[in-house]
Amino acid sequence: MKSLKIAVCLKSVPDPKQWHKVTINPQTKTIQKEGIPRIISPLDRHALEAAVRLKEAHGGSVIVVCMGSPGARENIQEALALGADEAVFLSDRAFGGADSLATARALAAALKKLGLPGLIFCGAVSYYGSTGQVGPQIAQFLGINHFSAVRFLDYKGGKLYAEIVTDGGFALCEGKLPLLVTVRREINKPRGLRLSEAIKARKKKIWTWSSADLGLSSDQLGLKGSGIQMFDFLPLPEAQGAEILEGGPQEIAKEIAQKIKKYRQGGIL
Amino acid sequence: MSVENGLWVFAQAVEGKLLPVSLELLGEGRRLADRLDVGLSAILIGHNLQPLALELIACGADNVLVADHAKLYHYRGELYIPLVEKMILRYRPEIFLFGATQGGKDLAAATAARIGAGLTAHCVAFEIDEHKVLKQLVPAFGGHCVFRSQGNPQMATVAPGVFTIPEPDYERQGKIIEIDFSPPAEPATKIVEFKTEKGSAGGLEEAEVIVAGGAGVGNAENWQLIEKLAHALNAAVGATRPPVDEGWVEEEKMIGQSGRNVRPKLYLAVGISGDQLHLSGVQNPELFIAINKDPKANIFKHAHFGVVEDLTKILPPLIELLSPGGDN
Ligand SMILES: Cc1cc2nc3c(=O)[nH]c(=O)nc-3n(C[C@H](O)[C@H](O)[C@H](O)COP(=O)(O)OP(=O)(O)OC[C@H]3O[C@@H](n4cnc5c(N)ncnc54)[C@H](O)[C@@H]3O)c2cc1C
Ligand SMILES: Nc1ncnc2c1ncn2[C@@H]1O[C@H](COP(=O)(O)O)[C@@H](O)[C@H]1O
Repeated sequence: MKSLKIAVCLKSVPDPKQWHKVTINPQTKTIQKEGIPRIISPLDRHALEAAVRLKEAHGGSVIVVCMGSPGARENIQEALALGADEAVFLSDRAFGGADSLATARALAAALKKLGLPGLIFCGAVSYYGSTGQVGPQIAQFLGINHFSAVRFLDYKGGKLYAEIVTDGGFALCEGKLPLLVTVRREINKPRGLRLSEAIKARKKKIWTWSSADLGLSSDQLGLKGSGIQMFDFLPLPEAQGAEILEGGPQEIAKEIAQKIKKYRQGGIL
Repeated sequence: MSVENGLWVFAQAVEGKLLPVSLELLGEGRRLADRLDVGLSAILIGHNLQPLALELIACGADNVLVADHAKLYHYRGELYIPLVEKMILRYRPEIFLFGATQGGKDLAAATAARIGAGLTAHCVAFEIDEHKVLKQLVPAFGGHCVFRSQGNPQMATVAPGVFTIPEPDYERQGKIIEIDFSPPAEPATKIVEFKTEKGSAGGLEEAEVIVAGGAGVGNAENWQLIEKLAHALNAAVGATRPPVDEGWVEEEKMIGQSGRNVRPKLYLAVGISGDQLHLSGVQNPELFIAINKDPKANIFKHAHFGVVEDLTKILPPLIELLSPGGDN
């Protein structure tokens, strides 16, 4: 049997604990997120874990593909320490400002250049941007099938079995490779970082590719290649503000209880 | 009104019923289609769809494009995506709206990639500008980002609960157009087993009373105070992102842009700073009370009544007062 080639699409996002520092300039409509520490988008750690476990059970290799700003390199390094074998870093100004369509187009081109892995893992949704569109869109650009929102996975006899969350419950699906899957957090518990692995990972290879390496022109990439454009920002009008209840905890608790009771007696609830 | 060049809504059938978001989109779709003076069409895919098609017409559709086949009963990307792509290429809609459900999001994203169109997620309002272009409003950064999606059609997803279901009128007339479908001889994917399962959201979306906790709750032990308060009020439990990330509560309870949209009459927010990406998921509560120890917290701009105090001091007496036998 041919050895299994697995890819993981990994996004680097600003640390959720510091999201309040991300701001918009209402004049230029540009988003500022410089200087905020970056992490691997949480579901992508689950995606990586799923890929590494498959490799451990069935053999093969795991390659990480990440498009991002230079700061993402640290996250790629971490992914290598968590069990990936090598990585492709799509790093080029031409990729900047990409929406899901332009992101998926670039990632798909990279995956094609890698000789189309049999299995591609994504997160069901990223923690920043959080559209959940990129996974299914990569699959279309590659012309392969995909399963979205996978919470359990098994690979047997050359076939993939995936339990997916649906609008009515869940479905156990079966598919032939090549396939792309997007994972939910229930799929596994990602392993922690080990120092020995981190040291070994320093020898692993990170290939850096630009738009020229993908054979895509600049109008297919980044802001120019995006399908949506922000053209206005409307700040919300100042809200009115709450009436603050005063007193000791016991008094305040009583006042809240009374307000709720009165409201309920108004017959509405 | 013609199905060509009009406004389309994806109508999703699950277990023989239309998802509410499909009808919500028809209400908004009708308003937009009238502004543009074009037809409103619903795309309905599944099996045994006749009664659902009539419901869609009653809720505002001029046309219903129906693909009816036993193999289409459950959402399946391999079958649905090329089918919708084919419909778009045949009838060239100008605008196409999808509910942000599991199936809706997947179908919208994949279809958009196939035809190279932009797709705006998390829309909460639409406007038509003077050039008849769809303006798509997405909450962010304490305001609304206004997007335009390029390509034909202009595509967008909307979370359940953003719009309200229109009053059905079964006298309304509309056209049902059958779309042929034949399943591929050798599909690469199949559904082996399907299980209906009620989500663990605990009726959050329908709840009239919600007690929601945030990062300020501090730990899993304190989270019990939220659960107890909700129990005393016979309310549903909601949360912001941090309690979900900390594992104090299931992901299904998250309210906001990447979680659920709720429309409670009474909303009690405890230890929540009031970020817009949370509050944009809470639609017009009639009574909104916030407890937060920081007097400058943004939540106090939005609540009707505020309490500036440590939640561990307020919740225990409040739970007692509201529990059966409490002196209230
Ligand atoms: C793309 C994107 C999508 C997002 N989607 C969502 C979403 O769907 N839902 C969501 O909730 N968030 C979402 N977020 C995150 C959101 O931006 C905020 O980070 C989050 O809502 C903050 O949650 P919080 O108010 O519980 O925490 P914090 O902002 O940390 O606030 C905690 C509050 O608790 C108060 N507090 C602390 N201790 C106590 C105490 N003992 N007693 C009383 N008060 C106390 C503090 O004063 C503070 O105001 C999203 C972010 C992004 C970027
Ligand atoms: N810039 C990127 N580089 C690599 N993978 C990405 C990137 N953006 C999105 N993805 C993948 O697509 C998934 C969904 O992202 P999104 O559509 O942004 O919610 C993520 O969990 C990643 O697996």
